[in-house]
Amino acid sequence: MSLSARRIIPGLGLFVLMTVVAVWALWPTGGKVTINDRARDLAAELRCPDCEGLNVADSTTTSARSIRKDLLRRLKAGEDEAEIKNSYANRYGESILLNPDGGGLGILVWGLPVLLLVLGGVGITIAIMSRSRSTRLTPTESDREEVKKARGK
Amino acid sequence: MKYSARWIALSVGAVVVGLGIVLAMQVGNDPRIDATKSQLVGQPAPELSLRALDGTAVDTNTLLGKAVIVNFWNSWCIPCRNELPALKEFANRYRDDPGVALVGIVRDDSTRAIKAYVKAEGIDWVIVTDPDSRAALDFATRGQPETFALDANGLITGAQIGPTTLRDLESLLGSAQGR
Repeated sequence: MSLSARRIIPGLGLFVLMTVVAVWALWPTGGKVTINDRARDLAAELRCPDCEGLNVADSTTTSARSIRKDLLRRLKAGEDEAEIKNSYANRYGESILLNPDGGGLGILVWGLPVLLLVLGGVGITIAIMSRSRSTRLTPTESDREEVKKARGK
Repeated sequence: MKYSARWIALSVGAVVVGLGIVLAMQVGNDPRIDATKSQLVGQPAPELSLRALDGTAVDTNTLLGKAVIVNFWNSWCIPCRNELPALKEFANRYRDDPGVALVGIVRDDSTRAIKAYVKAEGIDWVIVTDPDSRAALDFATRGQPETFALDANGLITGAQIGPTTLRDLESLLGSAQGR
């Protein structure tokens, strides 16, 4: 195997592996998404207004039950998830949303992990490439003699 | 190459420090603070279409033109019981004033329990039931008691989360009357 091939193959293998993992992770699963599924997913993204530390999907309070009914009604009426979340945030405040939005400071929450991942990936790539480019030390004849002598002892 | 690695390490460090600063600045911005105030003040009141205990229809149209105090409550909530004397006193003061209305909306209670409580306590202002919690949801209540002031045009002018005193009720009425 040539030196350049030896340099490229590990990187290429890593790239293929990462791509396969990313595709596998992001590949949509399950069958047809029903309105009930959508309502449940949406309920899981809203904080229960009259209980601590629970989302609307998991809570059994009157408010949570009313909100679940309301979500289903709104979805059936043709409203989309963003509209519904926006309407709840307008009435209850942003704290009703368990997932921060993508604007303002919320962009830091979503953007920073991605930025760190990219920077980390670039760092690892540079480290691998610099290692593979570093001059290989090959033993000279006198080095071999020294080793032989040492082993002979 | 050594410099690139150094720059990347510095960038990652800067991002982490930046994130730390942002998070530190957000310590005082607890999202639960939203729960202590209503976001609806200054907005038109949600449409109401409810039934009083005697079966009378109570809706937005019947309340327009009045300063309205809307009180969400129920019979088993202790803070609601604690604010009852203030509500009684307020109702007495404005019983004969056609420009003022006090409406109690039952939140999370049975009609039977409410009827018994209303009778026992001699509550004589309009009490409406909210069977599917539609009104409680539209007013974005998080519990009870919660009290809202609506002006003659149906705009929400004030809100109180938690029990009210007579002074709070007067202040809410003042906001609804533009005083």
